[in-house]
Amino acid sequence: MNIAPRDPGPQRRAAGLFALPASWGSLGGAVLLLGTLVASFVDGRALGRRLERASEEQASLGAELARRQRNSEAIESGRARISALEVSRARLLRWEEERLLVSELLRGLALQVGSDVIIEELRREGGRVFVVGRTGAGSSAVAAAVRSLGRVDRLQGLNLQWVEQIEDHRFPVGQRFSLAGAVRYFSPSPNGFGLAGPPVETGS
Amino acid sequence: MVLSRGWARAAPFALASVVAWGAYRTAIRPARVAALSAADAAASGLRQRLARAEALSPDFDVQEKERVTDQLAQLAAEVDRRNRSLASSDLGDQVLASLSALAAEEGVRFRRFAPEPETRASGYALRAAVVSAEGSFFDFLRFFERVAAMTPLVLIEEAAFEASGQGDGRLAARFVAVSVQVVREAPAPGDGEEG
Repeated sequence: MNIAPRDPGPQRRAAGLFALPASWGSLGGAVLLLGTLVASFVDGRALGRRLERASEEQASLGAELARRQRNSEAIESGRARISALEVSRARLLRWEEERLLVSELLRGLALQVGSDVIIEELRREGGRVFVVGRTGAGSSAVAAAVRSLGRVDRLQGLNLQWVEQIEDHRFPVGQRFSLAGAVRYFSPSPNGFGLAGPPVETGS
Repeated sequence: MVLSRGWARAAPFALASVVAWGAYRTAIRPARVAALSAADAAASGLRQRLARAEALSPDFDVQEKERVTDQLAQLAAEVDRRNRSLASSDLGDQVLASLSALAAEEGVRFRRFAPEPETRASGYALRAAVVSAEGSFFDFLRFFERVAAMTPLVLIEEAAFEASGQGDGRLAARFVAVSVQVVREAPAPGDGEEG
């Protein structure tokens, strides 16, 4: 009786060199699969976190830019409203000055014009003022009248338009003259201001 | 080829691992990497835009907005205060009509009082009346001084004075009296304050 094992043959001998117990094979395979799944999961989760952070940063930057944009729009809108209000304020300031103008003009004439000058006509057209007066004979009388009218606060840039000789019972020999000038304003000019035509801007 | 039983048991697991890894690498990961790249690129673009804006004007928007808001509030308050000197919407005609009584008190006689149609400009309604009147220089001076002190405000436009021609020192005057009212307009859409 031969108790020695039979020769397994060359193939089985070769397989025997890498033989793996069956339980080890199952365990090793399961570990490999589990490792693969864990590695995939860990990598996927890391990518997901990076993506999440990038999205958060993107949202935060977007919000900051949007805030800047809103602020810029608010600033633009505010500036436009400021411009409109400045025009309104200038218009109101001009009106507040305008309401005093005629009385100040008359008071100025009453104070500055001597008894030797008679104002025959005073006309205001927007920012222009026209005066027709008469005085005694001689160019010095006219010059004195022009100087006195030039001292009226609300008048500026007075120019002599014409002078003519007159004779009547009050001024046997006299001269009639015409002056044109501008109203002196102290308030800033609002754009588009003017009730009966834009005033001529000659003031400050 | 002959495999041991152990390798034979391991083979399905190995195959499943290969399939799982391959599926992850080919189907799942590239999509995530692409999304990450896109998000990174977008964030980078936004960061650059923000950096440019900040480099140009650090804190400009905040400071400027505060400045604009302050200035706006001050101006609005001032305009509102000045607007109060104007006629309210139902007073315009009455204000103009009251001029006649005022003139009579100062010796100025109205010969003609012709109201004109209302005109509007930039949020204000203007009611004008063309007046022809007669009086002495000092009558007119007193009258216009009282007009200047009137509330609500009345403007005297286009005034012209000339001797009445009767040799009595009286003047004939023609002027346009204007009463101004604020027109309350509906706020434009988008006028609200930004937070």
